[in-house]
Amino acid sequence: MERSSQNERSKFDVKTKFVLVILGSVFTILFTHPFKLLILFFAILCLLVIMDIKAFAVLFRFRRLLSIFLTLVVLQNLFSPSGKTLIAIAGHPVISEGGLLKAFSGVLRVVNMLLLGVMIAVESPERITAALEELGVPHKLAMMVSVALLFLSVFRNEAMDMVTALKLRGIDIDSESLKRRLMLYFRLAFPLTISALRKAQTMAAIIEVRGFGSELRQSKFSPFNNMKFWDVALISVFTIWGIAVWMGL
Amino acid sequence: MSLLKIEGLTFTYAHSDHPVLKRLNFQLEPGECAFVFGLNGSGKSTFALAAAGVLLKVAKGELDGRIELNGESVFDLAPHKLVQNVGLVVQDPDLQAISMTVADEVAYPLKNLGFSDARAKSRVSEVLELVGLSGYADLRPDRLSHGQKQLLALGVAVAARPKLLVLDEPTAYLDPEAEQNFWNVVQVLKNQGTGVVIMESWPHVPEFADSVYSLVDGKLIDGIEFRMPNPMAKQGIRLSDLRPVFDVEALRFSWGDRILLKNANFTVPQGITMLLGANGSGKTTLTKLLMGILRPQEGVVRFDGKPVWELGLSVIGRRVGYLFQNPERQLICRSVLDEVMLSLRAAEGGAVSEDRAMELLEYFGIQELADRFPLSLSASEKKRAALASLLALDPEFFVLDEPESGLDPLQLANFANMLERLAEMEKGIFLTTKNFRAPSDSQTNASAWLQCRLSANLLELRDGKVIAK
Repeated sequence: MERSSQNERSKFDVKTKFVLVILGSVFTILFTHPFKLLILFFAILCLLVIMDIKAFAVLFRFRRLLSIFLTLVVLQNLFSPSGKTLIAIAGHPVISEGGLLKAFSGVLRVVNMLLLGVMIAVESPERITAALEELGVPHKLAMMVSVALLFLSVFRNEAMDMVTALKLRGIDIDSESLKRRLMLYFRLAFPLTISALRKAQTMAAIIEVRGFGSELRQSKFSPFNNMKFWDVALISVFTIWGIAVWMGL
Repeated sequence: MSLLKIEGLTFTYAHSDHPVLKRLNFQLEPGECAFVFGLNGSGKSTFALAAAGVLLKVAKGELDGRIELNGESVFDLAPHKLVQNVGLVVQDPDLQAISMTVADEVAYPLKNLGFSDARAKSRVSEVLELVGLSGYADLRPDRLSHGQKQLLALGVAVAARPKLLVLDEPTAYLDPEAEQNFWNVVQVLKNQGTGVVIMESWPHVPEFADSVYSLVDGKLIDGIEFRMPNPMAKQGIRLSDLRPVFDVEALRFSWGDRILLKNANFTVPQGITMLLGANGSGKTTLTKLLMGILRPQEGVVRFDGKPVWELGLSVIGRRVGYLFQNPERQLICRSVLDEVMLSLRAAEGGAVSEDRAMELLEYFGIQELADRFPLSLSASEKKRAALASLLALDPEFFVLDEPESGLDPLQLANFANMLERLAEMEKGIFLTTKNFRAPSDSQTNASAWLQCRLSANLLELRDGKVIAK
């Protein structure tokens, strides 16, 4: 994910984003009807557009998760069928109306959560740290969260290189069966984790010698988090809208 | 009083029975520069972390002895005291930036010291001017070249005016020009009274070093006794004598507004070809274009007459073995033997013989490492394990991206032997390497040594074009 640079900082305070993420997550859990979840999905898309995040480009990237979503749909139908049976094999319902609706809700919940995460992921570690601190999170914890987010891109690049290396060894991972593909990804997870831990150790040394944890620390990373009228307005509108939808008004 | 005084330092990692540093003694005065040479695995990084006072914070193990900075135990220093006393720069330029802009990066230690915005801004300007990055304050650190990233790391390390600067192989990834720029700044700092400890795995001692040591068997000894084996020059093979394998035509590639290749035309023949280029000139990008990992914006790369990106990665991968600059990214199994078995299965399908895998490991001299976890190997062993797994696919050609990176002189000599053995098997080899000043630098420069040793056909990547040297 391309993060914004100092010159391209978004017009909204990161605290606003954190509040919206918390509200959005609560609504995602509270809303049980698929239609309400669908409305929430569009509302989150609107929030992303307002925040100058390329929402549709992000959605397009989610296509890679399609196989996981399909698996979710199948599992939901197999293990939790309800309502009218649409397809049955040997008397056992494989696809049911209720199963489909539940699966649809499940997928929407995942997508909504991911989209909410994107709001934070595009921010710089300093803004995230500062916002978390302003929200009362201790500096050390806030710094850990932001460095972990920064680390994600390193982790992603390594994972991509490993998949490329696998393909270059004559293993066409894309044309393998789902089971074999999962096994291959599982195989990658171990060296990836070890490598990440080693990098984390180097990063830890670097941060330590830069005075991390100093009690003298007074100033924030940068004076860029400042809630304005539009921040408050956005939070208020989203809160009222969410409660109204939840209560079925 | 000495700036840094180390007495009887012994350190044993939690997972090991053998101490990596053994009753090590060391002393450094203010404004003095000590150069410490050590082969990979000799304990340089452990020594660097110990001198910087963070060893026990980032590694588990047993430590004996004393490390004093201006008479105070380095382990007792509070974070704000540590940052005012020690600056640390490590080998990997990509792992040192934690901020979104160059200015924020330099400001980080200052903010931790409670500097006001105005004071921090003024000091950031001074530091950026010192390291020659004044025009880059608002740029994202990952947009900088390797050389600039290391200068930034140096700037951050000295932002709080520490009295001691610890440099752990800071120039390992830099070309000669970037290396010289880096040393120039270090010399300025030394002249201003900063004590400097430099760890390097190549015996390339900067002129301003006051004392030179070698780290051998966990102990420091005076001077450098190590001598790089002289590369045996062999008769080069003329480019025109060999059949072209890769044919590159009107290649154009850019990352955003940064153009790396513009209308590049060249062929890569069978035999050994070496591509030289400065940091950030696009060498890695070019190897990825040759392999079809990246697709050019314009132009075409043909392998054996066919466009590579039409072949697909799994097809080209069987015909051309690609060694990443960091082979850790292609070692994905639990053991070295598994690595080779995985490739053999991909090449031959079905059940494969373990004997064949062991044969390949033996070929690269790593049969005794068959059960080891690949990421626990040394840099050279990792490269050999990666090459063995590539050779299992029986490719006709190898593309190696800066294979000398991370290797000390002995490891490089071993690695060069292996490349020659591949060439003897009539495998073609295309390898990229950093620029060097002159082949006569081969005693202190890995790229120069490799060129003398392999006597390869030379190409150079400069200003987006590939030219024969």
